[in-house]
Amino acid sequence: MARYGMALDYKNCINCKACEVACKEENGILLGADKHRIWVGVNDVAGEWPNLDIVSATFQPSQCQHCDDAPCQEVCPTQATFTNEHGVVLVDSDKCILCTYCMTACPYDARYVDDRTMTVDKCTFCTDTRLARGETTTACQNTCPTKVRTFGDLDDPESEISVLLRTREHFSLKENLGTKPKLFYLM
Amino acid sequence: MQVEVSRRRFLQGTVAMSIVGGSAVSATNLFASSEKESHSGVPKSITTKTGTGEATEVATLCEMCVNKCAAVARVENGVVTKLNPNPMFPKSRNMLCPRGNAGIQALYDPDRLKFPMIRIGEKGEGKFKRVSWEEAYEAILNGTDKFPGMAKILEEEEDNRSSFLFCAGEGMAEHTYKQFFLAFGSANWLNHGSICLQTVSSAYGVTLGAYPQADLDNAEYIIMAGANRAEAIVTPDTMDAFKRTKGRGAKLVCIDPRFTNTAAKADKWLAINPGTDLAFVLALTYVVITEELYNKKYVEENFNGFDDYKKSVLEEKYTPEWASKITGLKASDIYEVAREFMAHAPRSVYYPGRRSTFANSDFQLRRAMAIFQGLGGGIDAKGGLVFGKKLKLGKHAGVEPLYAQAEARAVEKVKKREKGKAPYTDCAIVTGGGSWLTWRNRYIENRMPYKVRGMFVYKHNPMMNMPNTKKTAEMLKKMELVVTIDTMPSDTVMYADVVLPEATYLERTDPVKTFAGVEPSIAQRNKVIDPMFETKPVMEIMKGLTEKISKPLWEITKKFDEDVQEELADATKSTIGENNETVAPTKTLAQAEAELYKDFDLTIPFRHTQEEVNEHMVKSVYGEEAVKSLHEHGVFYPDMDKYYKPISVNMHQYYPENKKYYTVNGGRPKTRSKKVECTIGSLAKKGIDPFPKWKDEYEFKVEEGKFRLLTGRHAQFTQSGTANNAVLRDLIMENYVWINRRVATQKGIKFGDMIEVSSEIGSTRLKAYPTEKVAPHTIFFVHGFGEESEALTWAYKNGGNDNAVIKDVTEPVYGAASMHETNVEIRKV
Amino acid sequence: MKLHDYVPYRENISFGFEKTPVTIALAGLTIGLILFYLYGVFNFFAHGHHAYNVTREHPWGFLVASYEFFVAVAMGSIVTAASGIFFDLHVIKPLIKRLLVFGLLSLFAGFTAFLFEVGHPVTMVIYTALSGNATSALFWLGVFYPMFMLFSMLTFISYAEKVGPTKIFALFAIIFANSSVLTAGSIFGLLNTRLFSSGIFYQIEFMATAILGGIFLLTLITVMFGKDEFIEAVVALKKVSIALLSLLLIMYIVRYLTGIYGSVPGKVEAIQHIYQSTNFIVFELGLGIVLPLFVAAFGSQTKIGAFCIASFFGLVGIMFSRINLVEGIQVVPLQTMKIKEYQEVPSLITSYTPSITELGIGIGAIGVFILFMFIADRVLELDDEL
Repeated sequence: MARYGMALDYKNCINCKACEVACKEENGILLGADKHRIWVGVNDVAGEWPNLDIVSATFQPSQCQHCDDAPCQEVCPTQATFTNEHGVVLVDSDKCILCTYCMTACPYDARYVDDRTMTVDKCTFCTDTRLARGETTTACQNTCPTKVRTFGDLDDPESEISVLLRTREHFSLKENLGTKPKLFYLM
Repeated sequence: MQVEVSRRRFLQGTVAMSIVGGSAVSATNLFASSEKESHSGVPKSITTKTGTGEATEVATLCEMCVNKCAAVARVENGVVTKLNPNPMFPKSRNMLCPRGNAGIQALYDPDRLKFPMIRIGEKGEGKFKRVSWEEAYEAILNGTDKFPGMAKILEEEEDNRSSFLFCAGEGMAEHTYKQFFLAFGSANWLNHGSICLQTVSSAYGVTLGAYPQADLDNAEYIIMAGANRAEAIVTPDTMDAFKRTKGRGAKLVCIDPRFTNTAAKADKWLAINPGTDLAFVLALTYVVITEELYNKKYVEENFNGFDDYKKSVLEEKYTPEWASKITGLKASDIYEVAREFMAHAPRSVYYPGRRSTFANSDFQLRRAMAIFQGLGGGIDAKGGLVFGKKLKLGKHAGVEPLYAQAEARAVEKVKKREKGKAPYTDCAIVTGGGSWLTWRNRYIENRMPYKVRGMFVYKHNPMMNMPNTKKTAEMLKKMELVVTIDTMPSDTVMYADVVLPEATYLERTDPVKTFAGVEPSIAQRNKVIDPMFETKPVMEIMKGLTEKISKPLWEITKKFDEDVQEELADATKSTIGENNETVAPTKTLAQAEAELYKDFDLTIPFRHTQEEVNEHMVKSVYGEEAVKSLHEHGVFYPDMDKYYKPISVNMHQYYPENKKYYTVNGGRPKTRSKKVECTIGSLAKKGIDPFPKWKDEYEFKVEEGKFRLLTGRHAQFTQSGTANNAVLRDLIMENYVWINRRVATQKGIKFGDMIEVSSEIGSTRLKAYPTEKVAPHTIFFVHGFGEESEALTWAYKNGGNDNAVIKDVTEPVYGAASMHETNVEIRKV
Repeated sequence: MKLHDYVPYRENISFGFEKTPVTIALAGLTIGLILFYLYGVFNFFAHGHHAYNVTREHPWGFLVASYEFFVAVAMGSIVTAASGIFFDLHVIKPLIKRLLVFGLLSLFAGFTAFLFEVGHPVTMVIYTALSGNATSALFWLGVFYPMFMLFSMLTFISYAEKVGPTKIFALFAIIFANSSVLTAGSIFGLLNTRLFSSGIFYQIEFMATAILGGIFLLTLITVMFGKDEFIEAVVALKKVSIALLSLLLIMYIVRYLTGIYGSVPGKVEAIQHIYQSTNFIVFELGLGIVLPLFVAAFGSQTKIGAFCIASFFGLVGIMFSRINLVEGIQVVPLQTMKIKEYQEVPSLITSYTPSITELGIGIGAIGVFILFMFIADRVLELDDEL
């Protein structure tokens, strides 16, 4: 069974936010400042004009990390948050009771409340849209102008993502919390 | 916008709407959410979720900006639910930027123009009445009690076709619209050139023969000055450059007065004083000349007039130390850039840029940049500036008659022509696209050589796109007949007399287009869904309009045009035969008229559908398989089936490396002489320096307490065209003015405070964004906000309008708008 | 089998009460709070979850704090009473029935707050049973609290009607009460992401404040209902409270010091923000710990008037300790980068204030609780037959 993850060549990111729009269009997400599944983190540049610290001005795209050891799944009382057979962490909105325990447990601010169902929502790696149709790319990966993202099967040693992770240094966010995130930032 | 609508017609409209899409996701739902609801004033949901059921996929080309990226539209139940990148187009390389994805909202924008309208209130009030297309055409031809029609104007102006101004913004259907302009016979054409890239494209044109592209996929050293590819996305440059910076194959030096996203992605950022780039380039030239770093062999073989330029650079002593004082850069940085550039040449690129003119020295700056590039030898070469190849297309029928009564273009020659000075009051050279600002200013100052009384506007928003909004409003009010063809009720549409609603790019097939480059191709926009409401593509609009006006205007031509009268007289008079007998005329007057009319028939360019025209243009050169490919995949180029293959999950090969067109002219410029034209004598005759020279008036000066206003782009907006797009506004709600953080603290300005920015010509208000990304003597805010059209629900009075404040300064060569020459004051309100 | 065999209700039920200034003020306050509660409930049904001020970054609000407050008081009351049964504590005997009932009522009040906090209570009941998740503290809450409630009721009925194995019920009531409170504390303690609460502190703090809550409630009841026969118990429990309050005081001091020692990012900002705020220093520490400790230790050994006032402030302090807890775990933003160009860099999330609806339901529930206590006192036979 494929185990999905995503590698991000984040130095390519130009903060155009095409991924944010594509995600909302593909998955029918509500508009609104806090209703986003994915985002691009922007560091305020350090220094004083004209001696600005270019290196501090990184753009860091982020979203649900689909952790192998997901704290959100640990704390959900009704198993509304679960991991499917592909390692994708999903929310069954029929079972979600909106206790928002997962929102306090998630270290990555990945979750938000969908106003239409009043349940918790987050990135699904396009499971019920693109992947359900047999496509092999997520909306965010597909649209990116500088091709930051590579989505694929981590358990397949010949997949492009596996090759990337074998040959390039990478890090993940908040690794010290032991969540085993499946988003890898290539250095 | 108040619209008086007859109840029957309104109901008809809603019935037509609901037939589109029967599922839960339907067009009616999408439009129902136009109310400002929820807690932040943003509509609850106008995004559609894609489904797993049946869908059709249509290949189209995006029109949210000028790049024409190839997209595939997914249609479910008659509703466009997603726009995906089309991987087969070499130019856009399988991507869609945020605006490309948001094209769905442009299609389903609740505020979009839905039916033709004619003005019933005062000009600029925005009071219109809904009419049918037939009534709209009638109003254009014969006017109403509120405004005159074309027939009356032409009659009074004795068939002076130039009494009508035609202006347009860039778009694939602009070509179709221009056919109307050419057939109509006016000499007054104004487009976005003079408020966009006129200086850069012409400067490279006269120096290198053509406006080149940059091979950023292979360049090792790139200087990007004043170009912001991370936010002003250009394909494929943006796609290529940022994958290779930060130690991954290319070094990018970003030179910009403010710290843009491009600077954030660069390896080095030099904070230059606005408008002083010319000094920088002259200093670079000085260094490579004195240190003998330039490619001497290349210059010897491929430069014209280099010695004069070299002499000037050395005599004027354009040293880095001299430039440092003017530009604010360190001399050591200038030396370093010059040396590094030449070390990597010919795989070095001084990126030409594309943007609007920022300073009066712009023409000379671009010439200096082109020449400097030539000094490295990286012209028509891999890793340098390239011209690429252009795949040709067949031609199609058009009409371009000559009207005897049509006056020449409305420019003003100087009364006393002096040698070595500009021949026109506007500028030195008048190009095809003209000089909008000077034309407009002369028009409102009554300095036109004849009366211009009407104008046609297509996909163009003068009220927002050019400096000094007040004067633009004056011009529109003064024009007696203003016909706008647009998709949205923009600020300019509010000043129209007749409004014709165009179908958006997803609702029409547009002229097939050839895209030149290292990997050339032909691409076609295919209609995704039928036009909604009563909108029509330009082809059909022109068809209907010309069918209505062609014959009546021909009558006027016959009445006043002496050449036509002469021709008719010749064709119908008796001739003297060989034996001195009178030979009866072969044709009757009616027959002669009918034959002559074929040259003046305005309907000719619009007889066929766009699909038929495209097929003809492609089939004649490439055959049936190309037509099929363009229809199915939207893209075609020879050997595509052999060459196009995926090389990774994200990237594709379009042409094998050895088939790419890096060098098409033997490594030489495309000028007629095949040499870099360093010194151009003919420029001197018109009062322009024959080679780049520095003038004191180019220096950067800001008075104490004032700030230089800069304008520019964000990746999420295309000027003013996307201001009403709900999904894009979700990313950036409004524009903010960048003020240096220390200056803001000193003035007691915090994030979000309302600021009034004012100059001699006007003021605007927007919120403050204190940041160190801009110098203490400079402020910046992004262009395209602050609309005054009430019909635009989300754009209305949202943010600040830079053109309300920017002075209409023009540079002297083409009369292009210099957008960074305004000093402003700010205060907290 | 008559109802009277299982529920000890009175023969003559009258709702009159002695009209002293204190009781009239109390009645007025109760009615005011109930109206506030109804207003909050009405608002909730009109606007749903949007009536709350909770946001994506701050998903837990005042209702969580209110719920934790009520269940703490419930646990304290019932454990005190059940201990009195199980350990044959003579001095507590007169209080047992009242404490059991009032504890149960406090539990119900807490549950209403919880039911309004959770978005889909019906779904919760169904799926916690069908697909419960053993690693979730909330799931175990859903296991232990019903058991706690069940055994408390059984203990009461068994004790009041003298049927069944009272001591065994009491024992289980104590066990499940402790399990519930430990689980409630674990909700916060097991959040590895939130360094403010992760660890063992809140499990223990909950236990201590719960018992204290019971003691404070008891003192207030003694004075409110004029039960002189309880004074002996209160005096004895005062001494217990000294131990607990001292423990809590030491815990807070040590926690503050370890929290700021070494400036661990994510922890130090939260600890400093909370522990240096008036909410903590004045209300939680001052009124909630120091004042009762002082009064209990140095006040009269026989009279409880001063201690009653201190109890009131002690309960206020416990409420504020819950508020500070909910604040503390959410004050440090998890996303420290900007996500839009035109915004300020995320700093501490201090902008949350409870909405009127939240306050209405959370604080108004106190009024409901007082009303229920009053009704219970009048309807049920809660005094020992002498």
